Amino acid sequence: MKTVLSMPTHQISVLLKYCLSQEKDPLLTHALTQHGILSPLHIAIYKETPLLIDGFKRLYWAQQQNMTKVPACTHPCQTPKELFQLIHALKSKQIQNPIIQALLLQTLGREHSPLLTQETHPLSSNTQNLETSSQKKSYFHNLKKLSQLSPNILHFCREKKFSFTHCKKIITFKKSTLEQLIALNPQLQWTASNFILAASYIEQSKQHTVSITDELKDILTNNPQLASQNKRLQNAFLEKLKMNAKPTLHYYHKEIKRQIHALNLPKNIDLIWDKSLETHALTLQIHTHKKNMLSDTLNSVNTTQLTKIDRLLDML
Amino acid sequence: MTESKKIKEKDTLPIQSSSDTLQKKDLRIGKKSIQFVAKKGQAFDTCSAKGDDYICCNVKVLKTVSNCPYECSYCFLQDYLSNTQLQVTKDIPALVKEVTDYLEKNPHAFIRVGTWELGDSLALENQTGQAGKLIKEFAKIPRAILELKTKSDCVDRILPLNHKGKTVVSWSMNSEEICQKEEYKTASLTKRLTAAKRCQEAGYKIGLHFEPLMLYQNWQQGYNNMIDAIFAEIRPETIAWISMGSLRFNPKMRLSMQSLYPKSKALENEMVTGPDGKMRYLKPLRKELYTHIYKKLCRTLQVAHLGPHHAQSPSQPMLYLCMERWDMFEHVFGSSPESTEELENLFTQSLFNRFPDLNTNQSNNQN
Repeated sequence: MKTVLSMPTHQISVLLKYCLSQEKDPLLTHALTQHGILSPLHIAIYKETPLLIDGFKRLYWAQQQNMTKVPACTHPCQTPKELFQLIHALKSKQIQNPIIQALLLQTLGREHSPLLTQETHPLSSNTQNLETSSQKKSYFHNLKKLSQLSPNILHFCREKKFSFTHCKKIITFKKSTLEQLIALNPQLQWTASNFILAASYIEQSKQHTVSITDELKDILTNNPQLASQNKRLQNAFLEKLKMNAKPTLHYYHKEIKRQIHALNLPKNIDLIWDKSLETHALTLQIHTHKKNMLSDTLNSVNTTQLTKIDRLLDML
Repeated sequence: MTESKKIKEKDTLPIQSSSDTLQKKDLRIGKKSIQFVAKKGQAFDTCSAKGDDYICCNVKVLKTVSNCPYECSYCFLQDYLSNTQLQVTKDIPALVKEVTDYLEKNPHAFIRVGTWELGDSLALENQTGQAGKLIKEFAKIPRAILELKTKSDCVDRILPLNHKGKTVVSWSMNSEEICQKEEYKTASLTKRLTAAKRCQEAGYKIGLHFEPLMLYQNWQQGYNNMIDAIFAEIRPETIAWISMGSLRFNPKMRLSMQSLYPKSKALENEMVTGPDGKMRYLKPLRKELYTHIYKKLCRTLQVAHLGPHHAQSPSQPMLYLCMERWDMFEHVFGSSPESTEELENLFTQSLFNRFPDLNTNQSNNQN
């Protein structure tokens, strides 16, 4: 059911805020200037909030003209599913864009979004090659993960911001996962390439201590063009990484491991530490399977080693 | 009809005109009007930050407000409050009774009571006068000191009051960069310091909370400038206490921070989850942050030591860490209180030694 009415422009929330097009479309602008808004905007009333679904350019033009009201078709939507179906019906082309999907996810709620849990969505046709339900589940899981991250990447690119947390997430993506996603949905190529780019910049930044996985290195080697696609993007990443260069958790773990290795402790002794580094404690674990092995092991640890273990505690 | 409209008109004050917005659950909507409410349930409690793994100052809290007109990107309220309407409890006698009841049951206790648990103590003072009423009440209560913590400069109404030295007006202090970029709508560092100086001149004790300390580009210079600015205005002998605490938040808050404050730098650094479930900067980085500020404070105040065990002379205010473990105290100050109880005891000793009027007030009231 839909109603056509004159809706105050200030009440309209833009669902996909990055879609509110400010690009100049001379033909559309000419038509609007000559005739005004002829076809109404489409607005979903979702949880009492009017969300603009279709008519971003028209709304932008109306705002520029200081128009207080615009003609609008309203579509009451009670559930995220109904909202999604409406978006799908009106914006079938745009919805193929993974960035739009990610924005939708943010709007609809990640946990309950029908976008990635229902097989009715536009990407489901890509899953025909996946034979088992677990494969499909895994595909949707990874797609969701990538989609959640991609707006952040975009945002940080635009704002020249980048965080280690995001870097960490990026490097946890395996080559196989990315390849599967790209194979099933070629439109993800661009998003995935951003992840790969980011990983390469982390690698390039000498001050940074995170290293990318070998698998990702392979991707970079095989796709050298990706690394030089966008100079501005590269510079933004590098600048941010250099600015933010601080030792990471990974670095501290590596350093602790290195120092433990340098202690030359007997092989049946393990030193264990809290991986979050929050607890100021080292646990000494001795593995014994023979009589008298415990006392022999303890006797074999000399005072210098004990002093060094003590110093190691300063890192925690 | 919305919940706020059900309240009598005189009980609801608009802070700013707001257009009808439909996102009712948005935290920001609740900030636009004040609702005066009766006290519901227990308002007096121990600070919720207290935990077994951490050395805490054991400050008591009196929940007099809920929600805050300011918008700090890191504020835990954005994830914590189920009712986001800005509320002020109007029943002052009932609030005070909870404090006096506690003191009756604990005849040897000396307590610090803060009203900042769920909001800013002074931000709404011009509209509500609530803090002024509490100041007058605490002037009469033995063995208790009131702490009003704020990021505002709303002190006009409390300056002429007869507080009898029983109120500490505290400021959350941060570098100018963080005040501007992360603490939206709050008073600037300069304005906070001007307000603090006026309170100092009115005889109030001053509290400083360097929280949340954040890592950003040139943070060292930013915090050095902050400390220089503070001690150009405030005399150390009027400072009751100084706390330091780094940025920390519930992991669930990440999403709301990202969506409400996308330009915030609060999420830019790597963080780990501690035993209390809160995310913090990596411990070695926190050590660096605290040690830098500690050394700068020692240099500025021209003292060799600061910290819980070195807070007995006028030039050495009580300096402590908020929500950190004993080993962090030891690293920064060279020694650590054995327990929360010891830190609380050191607090009281420091206050009595540095502000003898507090001890005299207590004895007089007991007699």
